[in-house]
Amino acid sequence: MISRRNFLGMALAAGAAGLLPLSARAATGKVVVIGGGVGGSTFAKYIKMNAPQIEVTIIEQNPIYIRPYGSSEVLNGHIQMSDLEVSYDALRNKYGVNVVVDKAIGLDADKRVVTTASGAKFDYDRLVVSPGIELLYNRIEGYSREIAETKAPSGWIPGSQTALLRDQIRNMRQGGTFLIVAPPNPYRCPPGPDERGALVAEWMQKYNPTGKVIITDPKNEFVTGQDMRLGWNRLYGYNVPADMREGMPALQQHSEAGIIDWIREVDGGRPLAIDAQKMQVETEQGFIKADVINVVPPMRAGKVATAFGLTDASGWCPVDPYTFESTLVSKVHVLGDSVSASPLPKSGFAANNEAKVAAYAIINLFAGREVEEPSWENTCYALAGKDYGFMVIGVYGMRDGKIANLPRPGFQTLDVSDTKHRLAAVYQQAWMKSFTEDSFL
Amino acid sequence: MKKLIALTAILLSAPVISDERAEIMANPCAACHGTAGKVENSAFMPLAGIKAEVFVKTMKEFRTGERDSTLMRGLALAYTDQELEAMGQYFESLPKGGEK
Repeated sequence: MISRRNFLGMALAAGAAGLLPLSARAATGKVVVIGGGVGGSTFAKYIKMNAPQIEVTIIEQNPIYIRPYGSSEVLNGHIQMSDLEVSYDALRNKYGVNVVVDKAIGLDADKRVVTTASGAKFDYDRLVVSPGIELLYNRIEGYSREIAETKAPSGWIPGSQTALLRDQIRNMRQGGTFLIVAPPNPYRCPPGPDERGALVAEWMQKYNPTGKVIITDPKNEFVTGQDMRLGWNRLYGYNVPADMREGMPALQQHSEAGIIDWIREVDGGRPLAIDAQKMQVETEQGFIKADVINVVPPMRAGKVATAFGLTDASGWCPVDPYTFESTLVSKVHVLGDSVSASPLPKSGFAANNEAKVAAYAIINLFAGREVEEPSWENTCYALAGKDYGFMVIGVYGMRDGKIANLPRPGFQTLDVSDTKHRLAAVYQQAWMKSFTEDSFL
Repeated sequence: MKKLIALTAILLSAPVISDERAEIMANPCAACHGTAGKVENSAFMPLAGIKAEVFVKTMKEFRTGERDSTLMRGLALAYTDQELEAMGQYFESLPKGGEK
């Protein structure tokens, strides 16, 4: 039997480029990648897999990657800090990527040269910038990087602040309050702040049963909101606000306040100022005293994107969706959280997928061929507890020259069985492994 | 001659999904099902070498709920039959073991 693939292959001229594997086509060039996170690493791997003759150099500040996805699981002891570490050895040894530990500090976009802190110069045919996010600590009165590193950690970029936050939670007095200051849109990992609240609430049930988790939020909703609130209601005694119960399955009505509380914007949740000495946060509805304060500050594109003129007034980087080439600086592409490519979210999954689209596009550009139509998904798992998961289901394609959400259910239905929630938690754990493998290994 | 006309008709009737387009559509699957369809993971099945007809049948069963799933139903509903067929052909073409 002749497969459709072979059938078309024979039907069209044998030399039709569109039917040859990518690797068989001529495409040479030199790519420099700034940032070895999910976007940069996936990009480098997929370029080298498909066109090993292309020279790829990653400039990355840290010798080992510390993954942000899943890093809230350090806070409740599901995993250790060392479990977040991902090596660049496979990129170097298996795929032949030149991974340089250095910091990009200068760009000459006309001459196409990047300079680094060590004084090295890297010339490129295409530059890919994938720097993640910059946390704007100073946007909240009373908050600063220094306070985040010593007193009221953020931990939204994982590292020493994550470890500090974990220790603060562990050492908190019995009956203490853990306060999360949630960020305004847009931000990295849309379900993340509320998932973090759930995981700490679960930890408290066991180790600090009279403790409290409060999330104070400048927003009225977040991605996976209904699933998360249902999980909080079932697991942590949370009462869903009366105006948010429509369309939800039977809810428990708890007579006493639960472990977790979420204060929306309409209820005065917007944070106004932080006082790290008094350990309190001023919000529109009043002051909240806490024993541990975790601030997820407003954010924008990673610093190097701003420094290189890749951001617009929004603080994020506008790009051509077919290639992820910056619309502001030619031959420079931007990937991951730094990009404004709505409706693609600021998630690791999206960064991984954008990287693949950009890799194929750049191979085609080097070969002087037309860029193929892109396609994206975003399937993120989130937890309300270690055995209670749910997910976001996103599929995106080009419609009328723009990235569009394709019609499909965006979430599971809310009435799924406990088994389904357990299964989603199993998949969440499995995804941490398979996703890291696809991006780095 | 008849064959040629039939062939032309097929080629003109639906926009052809190129192999590269199929690969680009299939690439997101790798986040769970492994790069080039290869994964060693108790939760996710590898897709390398799966028969296209099995892939398409499975995806269609996810759509209707005939086959139970967590998120696969949502994904299956977003793609056309032709797109599923193209992705199935791509996965079938991938070697099951070793490097791509």
